[in-house]
Amino acid sequence: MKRLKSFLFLLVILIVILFILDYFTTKKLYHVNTKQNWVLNLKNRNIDYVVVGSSKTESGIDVKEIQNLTGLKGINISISGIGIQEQYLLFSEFIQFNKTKTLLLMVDFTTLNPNEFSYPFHEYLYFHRMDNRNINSIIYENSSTKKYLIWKYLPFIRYAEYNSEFKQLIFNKQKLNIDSYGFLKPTEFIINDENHKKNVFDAKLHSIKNTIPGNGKIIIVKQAQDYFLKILDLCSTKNIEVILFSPAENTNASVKFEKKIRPQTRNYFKAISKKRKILYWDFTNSSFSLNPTNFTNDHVHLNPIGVKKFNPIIADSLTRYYGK
Amino acid sequence: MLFNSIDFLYFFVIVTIAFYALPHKFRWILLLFASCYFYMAFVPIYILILLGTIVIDYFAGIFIAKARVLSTKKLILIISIISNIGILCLFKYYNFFLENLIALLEGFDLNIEKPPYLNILLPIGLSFHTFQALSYTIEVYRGNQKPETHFGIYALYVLFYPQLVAGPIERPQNIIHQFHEEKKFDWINIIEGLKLIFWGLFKKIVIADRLSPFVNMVFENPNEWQGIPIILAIIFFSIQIYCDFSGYSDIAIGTAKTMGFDLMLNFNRPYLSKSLGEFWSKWHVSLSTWFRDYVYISLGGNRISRQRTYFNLLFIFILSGLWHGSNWTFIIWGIFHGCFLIIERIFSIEKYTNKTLPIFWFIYTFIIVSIGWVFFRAETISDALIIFKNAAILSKDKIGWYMFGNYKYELIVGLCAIMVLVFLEVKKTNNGIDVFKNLPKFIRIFVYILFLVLFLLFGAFHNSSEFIYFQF
Repeated sequence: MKRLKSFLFLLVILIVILFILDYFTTKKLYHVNTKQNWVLNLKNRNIDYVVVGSSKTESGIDVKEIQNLTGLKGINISISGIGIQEQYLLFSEFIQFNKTKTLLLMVDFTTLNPNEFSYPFHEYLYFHRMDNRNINSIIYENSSTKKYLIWKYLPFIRYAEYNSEFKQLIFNKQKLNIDSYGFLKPTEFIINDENHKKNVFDAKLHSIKNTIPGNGKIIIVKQAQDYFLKILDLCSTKNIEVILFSPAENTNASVKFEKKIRPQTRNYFKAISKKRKILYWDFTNSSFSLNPTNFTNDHVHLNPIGVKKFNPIIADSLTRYYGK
Repeated sequence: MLFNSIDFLYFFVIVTIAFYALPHKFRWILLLFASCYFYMAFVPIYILILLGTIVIDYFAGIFIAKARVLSTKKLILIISIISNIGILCLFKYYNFFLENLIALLEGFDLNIEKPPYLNILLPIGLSFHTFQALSYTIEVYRGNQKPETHFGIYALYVLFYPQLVAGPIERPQNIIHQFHEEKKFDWINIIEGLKLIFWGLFKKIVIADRLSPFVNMVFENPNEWQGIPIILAIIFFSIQIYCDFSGYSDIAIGTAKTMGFDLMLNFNRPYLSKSLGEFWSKWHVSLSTWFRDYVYISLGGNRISRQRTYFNLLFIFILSGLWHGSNWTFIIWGIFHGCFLIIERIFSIEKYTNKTLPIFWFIYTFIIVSIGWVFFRAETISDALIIFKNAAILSKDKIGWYMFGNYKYELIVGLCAIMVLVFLEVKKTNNGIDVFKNLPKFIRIFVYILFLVLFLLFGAFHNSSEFIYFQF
């Protein structure tokens, strides 16, 4: 009995300490420099369009530049390496506190198969917001129930599990590397550099080896498709017009990929756009994408020159769209 | 299912509660079912291999005991050994044997039609449960153990989940009778068991898993490193493998302890040994004693000529190397240890170890063992030789933080934890935490809480790796 009492006493003290640690970590994490926090802290914006996507658009759509060209106000909430479930989370939270007329949703084969990303849903970056019902349910849907129960009901354990990641965030004093519109400037690239050639060449290998899953047959993960459709439904209820778009890519660097996966992806989104009566802009098929020499860092990411060339095309499309 | 996973946490809590909730006569069913579930969490189909050998050894035990003629007993024992070792050889050594045979024949310009390689995964922990199963039939043959007539209890002896995949390799005399005894709920067992589990997790998650990224970085690209980083990686691997494996053993022993079962001690502060001989009496004790009891003594032990004893020692360590893996690196590791043990015997090292400061001999043992670990860890023998060659290239301007790549934080945490480990090991505690048991109660509780909080703050939980010995 004496041992039981000591054991329970230790347990109670430990739980109290964990609650205290949990409280302070939660508070601190609201202020760490992540783009996720930046997006979730955006309030009272009234804009023409919001860009949602992954790295291709985070560093491919320069909203400020487009504003200079068109006068349209926008914001880019794309984040590198995130899957459609995280895009849904960010967008659904964004429109709760902000107004937008249009959603510019980046689509490609990763939209339907986010497992192509090494870590498609960064649940730990939202742990401090688990009291938010929407975020909580998305975390629940994207993790094992066993883990979720521990994260939700045991204090501090969720932060302990990712302590290395949080250590980097909490002690990182560097500012976010994005402009006030959410655009991340792509890395400067010396054209004709050996590295560039190598990267494009490696990208070619990469696309042959890795990005043709399922023997060249497009993989559709049901949960991802559901999130994609949930975004469309959400826009429909909020009267937000949707434009699906596939950004420009280096199609030369992914010949086999182009032949096998891209047409299927294109057909899928074309069919959806037809069914839902929404626009689909496919820039992978544009003359820009077909002549991409020196415009990209690798097979999918535009370099600064590529961004400068691509953004007027987007601006032109938006002008025509708003002048409809 | 890994001991350091969330799945195991749920599994452990559910099984332990159910164990005490059930009447004694049903507990073996629970444990057997839980053990099968635990094993099937890796590759489900491989449970059939285990069940096959369990059936063979169960009947072998009964028939050995019933046989009246020694030659019949021997024959049944041989059948049991061949079937167990046969399965082990098929899964673990077939490809290695074939590869070397082909290389040998090609060396003599003999080209044969190559038989197909087996493209299958090694059943997890196969070497461990094969040896545990063998110790049963050998002990029954020697008359030290009565044959177990209850098939479920015998199956549990082989499958008991805490020690199923990486030991300790139990002896039937120690564990089978415990399955028959009724275990009463006892807080002492629960607390002692939890302490051991926590201590094991601390060694695995805070030390081994923090050191492993740096060690992997160096050992996987030995050509890219020189001097200090390589020496550090060798030292860190020695600590990593100790914390990884002894951590696993502590969790296994602690898990069994919470249900009232006592498993044998597998590690007894091995790096605090004054010679290699002493090291082997403290490192992976269940395997060392297995080789001693069933092979070394059968070969004559110490009662034969000196030369023959040396030969036997070398033979045992080659076998031990081979037991660890089907790769020449393990065989060289075994030869290395065997040779050093022979040298220690030739020079009667005990004569000197007691006359000088123990620390000097601890360092000696650590250096020898660490050199041996290079063969154990390296992918190939040529990699091991590159590591030795590059370790000798020392240059002042190459020393700096950059050496640790992106792992500075991991190494700082790991180093602090190593200091805690050394302190507690020197204090002669087996679960690390008992060192505080003589402190006043409130201070003790404060220390326990501090330990738990530091464990949560600095453990490598996310992307935690498998236990090294799972591959054997």
